[in-house]
Amino acid sequence: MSDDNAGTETVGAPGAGGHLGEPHVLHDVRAAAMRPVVDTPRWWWPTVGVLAAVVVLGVVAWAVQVADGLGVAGYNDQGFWAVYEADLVAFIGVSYGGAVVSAILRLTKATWRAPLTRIAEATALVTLPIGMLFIIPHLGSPWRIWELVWPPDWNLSSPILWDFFAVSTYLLATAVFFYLPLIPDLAIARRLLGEHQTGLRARALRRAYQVLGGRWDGTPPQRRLLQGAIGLVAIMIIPMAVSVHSVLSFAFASSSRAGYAETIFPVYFVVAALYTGVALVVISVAACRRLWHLERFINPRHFVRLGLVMVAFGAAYIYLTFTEYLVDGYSGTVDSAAWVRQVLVGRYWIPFWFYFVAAGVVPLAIMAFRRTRTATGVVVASGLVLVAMWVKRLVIVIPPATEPLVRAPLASGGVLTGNWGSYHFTWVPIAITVAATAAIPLLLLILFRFVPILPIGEMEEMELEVAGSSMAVEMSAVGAGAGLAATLPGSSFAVGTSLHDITDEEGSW
Amino acid sequence: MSEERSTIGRPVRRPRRHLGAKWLLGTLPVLAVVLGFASPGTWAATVGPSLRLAAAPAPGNAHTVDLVATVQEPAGQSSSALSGISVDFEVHIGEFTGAPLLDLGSATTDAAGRAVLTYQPTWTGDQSLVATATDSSGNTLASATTSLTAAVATTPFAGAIESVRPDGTIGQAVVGVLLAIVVAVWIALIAIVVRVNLGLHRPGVAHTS
Repeated sequence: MSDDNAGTETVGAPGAGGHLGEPHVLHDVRAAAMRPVVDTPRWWWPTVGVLAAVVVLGVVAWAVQVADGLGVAGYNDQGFWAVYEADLVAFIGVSYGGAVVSAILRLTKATWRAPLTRIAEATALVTLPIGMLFIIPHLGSPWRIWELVWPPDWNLSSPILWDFFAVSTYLLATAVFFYLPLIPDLAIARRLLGEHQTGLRARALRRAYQVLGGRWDGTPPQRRLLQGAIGLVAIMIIPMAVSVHSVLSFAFASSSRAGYAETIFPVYFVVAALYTGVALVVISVAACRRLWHLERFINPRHFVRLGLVMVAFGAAYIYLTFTEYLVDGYSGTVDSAAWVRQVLVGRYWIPFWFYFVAAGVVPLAIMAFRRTRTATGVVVASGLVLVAMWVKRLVIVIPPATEPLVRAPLASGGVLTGNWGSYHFTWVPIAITVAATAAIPLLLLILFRFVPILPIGEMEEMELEVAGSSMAVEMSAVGAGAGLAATLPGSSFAVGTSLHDITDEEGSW
Repeated sequence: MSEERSTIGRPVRRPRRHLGAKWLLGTLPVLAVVLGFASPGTWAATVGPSLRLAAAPAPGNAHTVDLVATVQEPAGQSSSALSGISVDFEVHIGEFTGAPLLDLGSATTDAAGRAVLTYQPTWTGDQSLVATATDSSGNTLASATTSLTAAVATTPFAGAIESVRPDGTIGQAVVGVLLAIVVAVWIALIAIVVRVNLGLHRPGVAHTS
């Protein structure tokens, strides 16, 4: 991944071969966006096959757990919360980054966002249900899950139940946030498929696009209606993401166990979710860019900007980590001090300091130096963040669970103080976790077989606005809708075709 | 109760890792991360003293058994070396397959090499018990196993254990507010989608070509 031109390229514009406002580039956007839908590269089926096999292995592991009990996953009396809770928090957390970052960039009208939003929102959409599914192995007996929400045994005061409502609500919001910007693209895709594709699959896709895309014609009233709806959902989704991950932290924070009962946890969890979410967006964008040759639209400065956003959240998370351990350790209460000691210098020192270095020091260092502040550097930093933050979730979940808190007078005399428990990894949770990880690219590969990978309408509209305003400035005598298709000398922007020109070109846009 | 004072619940000293192994873990972060959560295992002794473990009903209490671990030195060793050896007692937990041993407590050997722990089963059925003798550095000297069938299980606690539960009133109020917000958000989101789709078909909004 070269970033030689990172300092000179215009963000949001193709790297070479002309500006998006030029007609042939507009055509290229459509071709690139539809490439995953109409083409099946040689690597597609083998990749899907391997990823599907990994997912099946995870399902088999879960079946073994259902048959033999949670003990095969290493759970025991004292290690009663472990990998699955960490996975639940981590996977739901990473889903927030895509949606929230996209929402923030939309609301702030950041022009460089356009090529990234579809991939970011799709990543959020596929990751969230995977995270939700972890509640099933976490609870152990799937045939009893309905008792969470069904009388007479339901417990409305259980934070786990609140999680269910909160996350399912956020899933609906994410789906809506993915669907609304897709409407113009579905209409464009329907017409493009009509031009180039025949056969059963193309007909089925056109029919689906017709149903989902409605009668989108790109008229100004339709645009105003859609932009208003997208803006409203973007506004809703930010506080919703904050509140949902806060509620997720309530399962810990509302308990009475030292290490879980932390008032800082709601903020801590939200920042962690954004931190890892941006990291996953970087990885997804990098993979899509490489696999479907989107280098012309996604350039290295996109990665650098995402990297800067990521380390901003990372710095905040490191500070919150410092705050958490300082307060718990400084207060000196027996339970808190024991847990903090075990994490910092005791039996859990290796995972904690691995997290601190890999998710704290290294990403900050990569982004601090110009030499390493490259697309490759950002991708490496993002990979480290994802792994290390998963480990951090384990550090949050396991040490407090294994701390003995019972002090009971014994009938035989003396006081039972208990011993530190431990959690042992087995192949079962590892297989399930790896399967869930594999499910993310698998679902993205499948999803982009059906929807354009780039937001065609949004990219065209944004670039035409830029091109039109540039033309208005530099050629005040000519109207923005004049339909010129020439590059102005000395200008970084090309004079693009107007919206009406596209309408003419495509029949009805 | 034996004259050897039981120290039920005292943290059991585990054998330390070799420095070399620790260094290796430090150089392999991912592997080390995984291993970092696993408690160190016990090492089987191949030389040195041997250990016998027996379980017998405790006198005067039908609900408890005395676990008697007897350390025996190899021939030629002085018997004075038998006293002061720490013996850890553990039980297999049948409930969780693959789960670690549950610590019962530890006792120190007397001059005869006997360490006694009074064990009060808290569940019935067959139980497999393990005794491990360790030296002052925490290294394992010997281990032995035995089994017993517990017909009666009793609670080990002298009184009821109080559990602090959330205030039910607060919980209901919070849940009520949360559910109302959730319902409102669902309605709002669905209404947005419906409004957009209806708008695309409305005359004056949709293209009529």
